[in-house]
Amino acid sequence: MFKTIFFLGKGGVGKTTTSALSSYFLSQFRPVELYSLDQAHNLGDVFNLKLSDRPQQVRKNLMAAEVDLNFWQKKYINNLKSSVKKSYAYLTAYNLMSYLDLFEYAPDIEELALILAVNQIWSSAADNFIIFDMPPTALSIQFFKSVHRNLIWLDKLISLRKKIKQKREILSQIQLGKKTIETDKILNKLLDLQQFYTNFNQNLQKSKLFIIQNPDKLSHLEAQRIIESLKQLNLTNFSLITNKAQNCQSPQCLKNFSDLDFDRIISENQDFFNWLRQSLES
Amino acid sequence: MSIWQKIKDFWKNFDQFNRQNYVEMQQQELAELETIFALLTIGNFIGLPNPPSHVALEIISALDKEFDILVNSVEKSLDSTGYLLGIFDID
Repeated sequence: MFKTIFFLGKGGVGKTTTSALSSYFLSQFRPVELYSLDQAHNLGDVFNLKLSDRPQQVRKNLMAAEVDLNFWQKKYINNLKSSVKKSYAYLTAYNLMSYLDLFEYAPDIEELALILAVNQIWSSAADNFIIFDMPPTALSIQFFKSVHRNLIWLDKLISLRKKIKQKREILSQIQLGKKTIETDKILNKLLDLQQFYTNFNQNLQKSKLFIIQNPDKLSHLEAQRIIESLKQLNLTNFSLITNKAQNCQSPQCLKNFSDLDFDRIISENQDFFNWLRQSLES
Repeated sequence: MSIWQKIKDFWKNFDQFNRQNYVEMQQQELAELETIFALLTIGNFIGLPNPPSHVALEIISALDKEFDILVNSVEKSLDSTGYLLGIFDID
């Protein structure tokens, strides 16, 4: 059974309301943790609660949080700065360490913050449903792509580094008459990172992705582009949901609703929620 | 000196010469592999694409040798033909 669920889609299609309704429904069967990863959070508005970075009880079996990506970004950068300071300690004599603040503006640091936050949630999760309300398409796709891209880079760098290590050992064998096994700090760091991303990717492969669209051309086309991107990344456990659909007979449609009366919406959309639950069975 | 001794000496010199050649070739290849690694990891200083931030930032504190390699490569690049001829012992 899929225990991690991502809700993706164009901005404004109803990712937050659909993920909130799904979490509310699924909490009848198993504890649910719902996390908003969109920096323009409005999950708290849906539940009429002030949510923070720490999961908060919304109802029995349902916890929710609005993840602060700035916190994860800062935490990572601070750890990195202290590691660089150790290697270049002499720079403190010239008071040059403040230039390292530029790390905060490194490219794709937002995707990295997303990855670190999701990884932390996964590593601390019990046997609950973990539901992620994702940011709009661009950042979400970058998030999935960056895992794939990092693994490719790591694979190539590690194979090159191993070749370098092997050459050094051959040379020491010829020159010194015995093979000296050096500790390659860079190779070890790369291998650790590869392990991290391999585990992360395995968790992604075991996740269910719901792509939300509305019954309009633009959100439909964007949903198709998301599907294409996911297929390229070998993420095939996805289903399409049409939200705000009034005259739709398919169970994958969630009908329009005027207010957020969760129980009423769920009872009026029984087909949809039953389909949603069934689609989580692997 | 007996013939046998002469053969032994010749073989010893021959072996030493080949070993030296082999070591030099291996050293050159190692140096090139290290340069490629430096270019891939910190080549963004000269306009090459850089690795994803997470990969680059994780290893940046251990890349002091790679910085030296790149600086030395700049000197080599000023006389790349001479460098290549040097590898193959062509005067």
